[in-house]
Order: sequence, then C-alpha cells, then structure tokens
Amino acid sequence: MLMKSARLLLLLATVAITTGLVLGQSAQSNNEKIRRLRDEITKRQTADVPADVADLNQSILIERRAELRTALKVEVENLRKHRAFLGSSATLEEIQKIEDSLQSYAAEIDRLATEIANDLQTERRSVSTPVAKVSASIPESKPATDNQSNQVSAISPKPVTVPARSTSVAGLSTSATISDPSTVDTKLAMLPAAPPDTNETNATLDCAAILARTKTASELDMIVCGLADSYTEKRKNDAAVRNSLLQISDSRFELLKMLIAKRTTPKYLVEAEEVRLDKQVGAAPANNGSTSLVVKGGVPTMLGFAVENGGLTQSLSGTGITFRGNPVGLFNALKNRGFVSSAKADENDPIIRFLKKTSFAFTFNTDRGSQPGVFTGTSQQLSSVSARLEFINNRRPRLYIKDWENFLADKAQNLANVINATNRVFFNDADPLNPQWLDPKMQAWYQETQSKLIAASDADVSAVLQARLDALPVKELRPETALALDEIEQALGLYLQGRTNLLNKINSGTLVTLEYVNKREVNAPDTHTFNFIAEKGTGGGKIDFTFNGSLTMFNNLDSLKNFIIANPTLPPARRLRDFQFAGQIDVPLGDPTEFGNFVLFAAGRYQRLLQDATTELGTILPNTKGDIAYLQTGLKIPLKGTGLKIPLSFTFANRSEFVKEKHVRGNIGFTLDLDSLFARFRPF
Amino acid sequence: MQKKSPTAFQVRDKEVITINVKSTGTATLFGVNYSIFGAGTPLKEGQPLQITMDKQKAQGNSTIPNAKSTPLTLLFSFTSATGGKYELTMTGDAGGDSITDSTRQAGSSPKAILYTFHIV
Repeated sequence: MLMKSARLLLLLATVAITTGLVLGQSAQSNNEKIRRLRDEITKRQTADVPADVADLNQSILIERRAELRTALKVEVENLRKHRAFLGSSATLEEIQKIEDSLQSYAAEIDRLATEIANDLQTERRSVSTPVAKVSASIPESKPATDNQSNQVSAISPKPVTVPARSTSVAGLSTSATISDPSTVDTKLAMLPAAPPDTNETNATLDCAAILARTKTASELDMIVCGLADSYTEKRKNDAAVRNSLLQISDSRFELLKMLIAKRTTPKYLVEAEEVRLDKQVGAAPANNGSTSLVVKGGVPTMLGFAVENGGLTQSLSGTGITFRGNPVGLFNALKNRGFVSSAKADENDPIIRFLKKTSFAFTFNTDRGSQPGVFTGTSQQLSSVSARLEFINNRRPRLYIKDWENFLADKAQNLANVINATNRVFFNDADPLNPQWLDPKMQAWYQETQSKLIAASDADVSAVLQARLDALPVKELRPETALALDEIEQALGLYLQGRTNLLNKINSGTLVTLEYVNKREVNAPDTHTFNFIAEKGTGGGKIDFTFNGSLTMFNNLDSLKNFIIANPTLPPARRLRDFQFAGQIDVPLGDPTEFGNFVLFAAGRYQRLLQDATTELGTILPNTKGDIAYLQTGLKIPLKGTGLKIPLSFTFANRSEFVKEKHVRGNIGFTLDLDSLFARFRPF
Repeated sequence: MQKKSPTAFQVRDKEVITINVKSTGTATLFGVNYSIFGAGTPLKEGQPLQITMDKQKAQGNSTIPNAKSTPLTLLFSFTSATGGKYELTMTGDAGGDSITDSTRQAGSSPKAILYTFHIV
C-alpha cells in the first residue's frame, strides 16, 4: 500500500514538473518570438530600402506587425492566467509588475493595429493609383488567376509587379501600365488573422443560431450575420473580395439596410421576429403530467422532448416524458444531413412528402415500473403510443402562388427599381476594380471598416461589423444620400409589409390532423382515442385557434371482468368511454428581443363521460359518469436561444373523472424542440 | 462579356446577356425581379432572363475607354423562414466569361445583387 502511494506521488510529481517545463518553454518561446519580431520590425522600419524592394519590404512589415500583435495577445493571456493562478499568493510587487506589463502590451497592440491599418491603406492606394514604376519583386512563375488575367485595363493602371505580364495599351500614356493585383492581395491573404480589439468583441453575435432562426434576433442582426457569413466564405477564394466588401455582389443592399436601420431604426429592421404557435411537443391531455388541455396540429420536424408533471383530467398526478417526432426528420438527422438540405431534398420525393405528414409519439410514465420516479424507458413505463396524419394543410405556400405573383409584380418590382435607380447616388462605379461610396463620410467609414475586416479572423468578422454599426455616420450624410435612403426605406417598408400580409394569410390557413392514441394502462382497460385536430389562424397571423374533437373507446373489458362479477349491481360496461370537445387560443406576448417569445394561452374543454370512470387498479368508480368542464390559462416561457420552453398552466374544473368536486390544479413542465438544436449545429 | 471584377463586367453594345436563376436552398416560392434602364419585371421560374445591353440607355461613367456603365439589380425574395438560397449563371451572346454567383437568405428582407455593366 505504502509502495503504491509512493509510486503515485512520484508519478504526479513527474507530470507536474514536465507540465511546468513545457509551459515555461512555451512562454519563453513566445517571448523570444516577440523579441525577434520587434527587432525585425525596427530593422525594416529604419533600413534604407532600395526602391526595387520597397513594396516587398512594406508588405513583410505588415505581416510581421500582425504576427507581433498576435504574439502580444498570447502574452497578455499568459499574464492573465498567471495572475489568476497565483491568486492571493501573489505579492504586491508581482501584481504591479503584471499590471504594468499588461498596460504596456495593450498600448503596443493598439499601436500595431493602427500601423497595420495605415499600411494597408497605403498598399491599396498604390494598387488603385497609376504608378509608372516597374518592380520585379515577384518571380515570373507566380501564377495569376483567370479573373486577374482579364484585368487588362489602360484606364485603371496599376503598379507593375510581374514584368512578364506587363502590357501597355497603344495610344495611351506611357505611364499607364498594368499589374497583377494578386501581389498585394496574396500577401494580405497570408496575414495571420489578428484578433479584433477588445471593445469590438463585446458585441459578438451567435450567427449560426441567428441565421438558422433558433435564436430570436432582429432583422438587423440577421443582416450583419448574413454579410459576415458571405464575406468570410467568399474572401477565402477571392482576394478582390477580401480587400473590398463592395466586391461581393449582394453586399450593397445589405450595407444600405444596415445604414437605414441605424439612421431611422424602422421597426421592421430592429425588432425581433416571433415564433410558430402550432407545434405540439408534449403529451396529449389524457396522459398524466400533460400541461395542455388541447392538442396542437404541428409537430417538430425531427424530434421533440417534453417532461410535464401534474394531471389534468384525472385526480392522479404523474410525471410524463414524451418523445414526439417525425420519422423522415429523424432519419435525416441520423444520416447527418443538414436541416435545410434535407428539407430541400425531401420536397422531390412523393413518398417522403407523404411520410413527412406523419408523426409518432411515445409517452412514459415514470411513476410506473420497478423504480418509481426514475425514467427507465422500459415497456412498463410506456403509458401511451400515438400516431398522426396531417390530411389538410392550407398553410403550404404553393397554394398562394397567385398572391405571390401579384406581390412580386407590385411591391417587389417597385423595390428593385428603387434600388437600381438610387445606386448612382450611393456608389461610384466608374472604375470596375474599385467601386467607392460617393458620400465622403460613408467612404471614410467603409475604408476603416474594410481595414478592420481584413485584419479580423473569420470568427471575428461579425463582431467587427456589429461594432462598426455604431460608427456609421448617420447624421453626417449628404442630403442626396439621405433622400435616396428615405426612398429605399419606404420601398422596403412596403415590400416587407406586403410580404408579412401574404405570409400571415398563408399561416392563417386551416390545418387538420387526425391522431390516434393508444393509452396503455397497468390494471385498467387500455383505450383507443381518435382525435380530430383543427387549427386556424387569424388574418393578422398573430393569434392561433385550435379545436379538438375526440372519441375514446376501451380496447377490451377483460381486465374489468372480475370487478364486474364481484359487483353485479353496477350497470353493464360499454366499449365507448367518452367524447370531448376542446378549444384553445394562443397569443404571443412580450418583446422577443429582451426575453424571448412568451405565449399566453387560454383553453376550454368539455368532456362527456359515458361510463363510470375506471381507475388504474382496474376498478370502476360508481356514479362518476357525467359532464366535466375545464378552463385553463397558462404561459409558455422560453429559455432564450435554447429551444427549451417551460409550460406553466392553471386549470379550473367543475370536477375530475374520479372526484365530483371543483378543483384547481397547477402544472409545470419543460419541452425541448430538437429542431432548434439540430438547425443550430447543422443549418445547411 | 468580360469579367473585370466580381461585380463589374465589360460587354459590347447590343450584346444579349442571359441570366439563369435557380432556387437551391430550402423550399421557397420562387421570387426574383430584375431592374435595368429604369424598368424590369419578375422572372418566371425556369425561364432564362435575356437583356440586351444598350449603350444609349446607359448613363453612368466608366474608366473603360468609350464605355458607359449601367447597374443591373436582381432582387431575390423568400417565403421560407430560413435557409433560402438562389444560384445564378450569366453569359453573353458574344462569348467570353461565364459568371456564377449566389445569394443566401438572411432574415425576412430580400437580398439584392447589383452588377455594373460597362458597355463599349
């Protein structure tokens, strides 16, 4: 035993020493890198560089500054970690030394950022300004892209860097020569991505979740994320895009929308959107633990999960865990296909289209089985199985094609014409290689933004754009810029209003679903329930009405045989157990940006018990048949950005199935729609 | 048609540009409008758009000798909540470069692709 402990201590000590040495070496190597980079930068800054290699020296200088900036940030992180590691054991002298170093590094990082931005501006200016100088800094064998090989323009000449490809155009000034812009662009692409300044990272958006709409976000957030996504994707393969956001074909309108959003904050751009009201994730009302009186028509595309506690229709409480899903969606998820790509591919297959109208659900009662209160997933705990078929769905956009065509010909065409007509007010497109903003304030904003974007890593692009929103010169624009923006804003507002009206019309269409539920009892007879579910939205699309009509039958009465023989005075049992009608209204509440989408719901249900109620013990409670009325109100509380919701409800009833007394019950649970999570991790 | 940059193209006067647009993202009603020379219409799904580049109608300046420039706007609408995407290919009847491009839905608002044509 003693030997074992000694060995263990020896092993731990060895690991600790080795780790310390490795960390020490790592810190030392970073320090060495910083020292080396500082030396090289000083040397390159102060050297009397021959004209032939001046451009190359300048570019290498940019690279070294970016490398130094990254190394300094690593050092800052190391110092912070070390300070945290020392904790209360750090001496005052040590703390002061660390603070001084942090301040010194922060200043150096800022200074390097400014120097890099200035250098990049200088490089870009040298690219777009006619220069007669000929440089041979890049070997002739350097490949050029197809795109660049076509850029033979005598009007927008560039510094010649590849002698073999330099071309003069007849009839033009001898100083008008061309070059390969890839020399600068390639060097920029080689730059290590410097993390953005600290004050910019505060505004980081969860763009994957925002674009997949699993997180409530404003239109502006989505525009920023969309533009960041597009820029990071396209700059990888196109140096022109890397150096100019305006070289992304769909960036201009996005930038204009951002400008409009910051200038006049129209609701349609800055307020968050609302969510679907028609999904049922939890159990049907007859199950112990269900928090809802009414069943909704829609189901998750893939898989939903709900845990609810309570009991609405009987005086028994229980915890029900329901898994509700769609076989096609689940299959796609298991095949690791993206949320959107699978949705698109499935549209083309008639069998899959039919299967997508079906869904299944399994509910487990955790109070059953050998370990009550523990979810085991065994058949003993399986309390109900259900299947659904959606047979009327007037919420398919294809049914509204004529309305859509009218919208395109009117509102959309107007917007397209306005964007096209106002382009000349915003942009100078005379030089095909160098589009610019005509408004000097916007051009200045754009140049600074572009410098920061070039220096940003892919992960930081959205943060940079988000941070630059506040710097938009919305109050300093030229009058003609402001007027053109007003024009676009008006056309965009009309467009979005028209689109919303049409989508509301689609979403208020009728949805009819048939559901079969097999409720599995322990001692009482099993039941079959046939549920008719209809949903209809209002014209405004804000409120959703749901109607349920159901009929429940006993599977067989064998389990009651002994009880009936023992109680011959009871009326004979029949197969038909009850019928029910229920209705629910859902109204979204609150500000989705602040708290997420709360949904207030109110429901009513009437149930006619045609038989005396049977208990879980397989007995019949005499004089219990009759009418039961329920009224319910509740709130579905979202946990922002998680796909989780907490349904909370209060139910008032004139009686329960078992007890002929008025009662009030409270139910609480949580539901998880896995569509949300899946879309977040694999949106496309 | 000659590609000068990702968003600018040089074309000949009267050159006919053909644009094919496909919806390749999640299911959405097809909604594409174009606008050039102060007019335009919605595109029909599956039918290519053909535009004749008329130098007389172009009003913008150009640094390309003897050229006038004009913007072309393609507006893309989405009925889907998310995941909409359009892809396009563009060719000129005088040959030269063939252009492929795409735009992806980001929110409810439409996306617009703007190209500048320098008509020589």
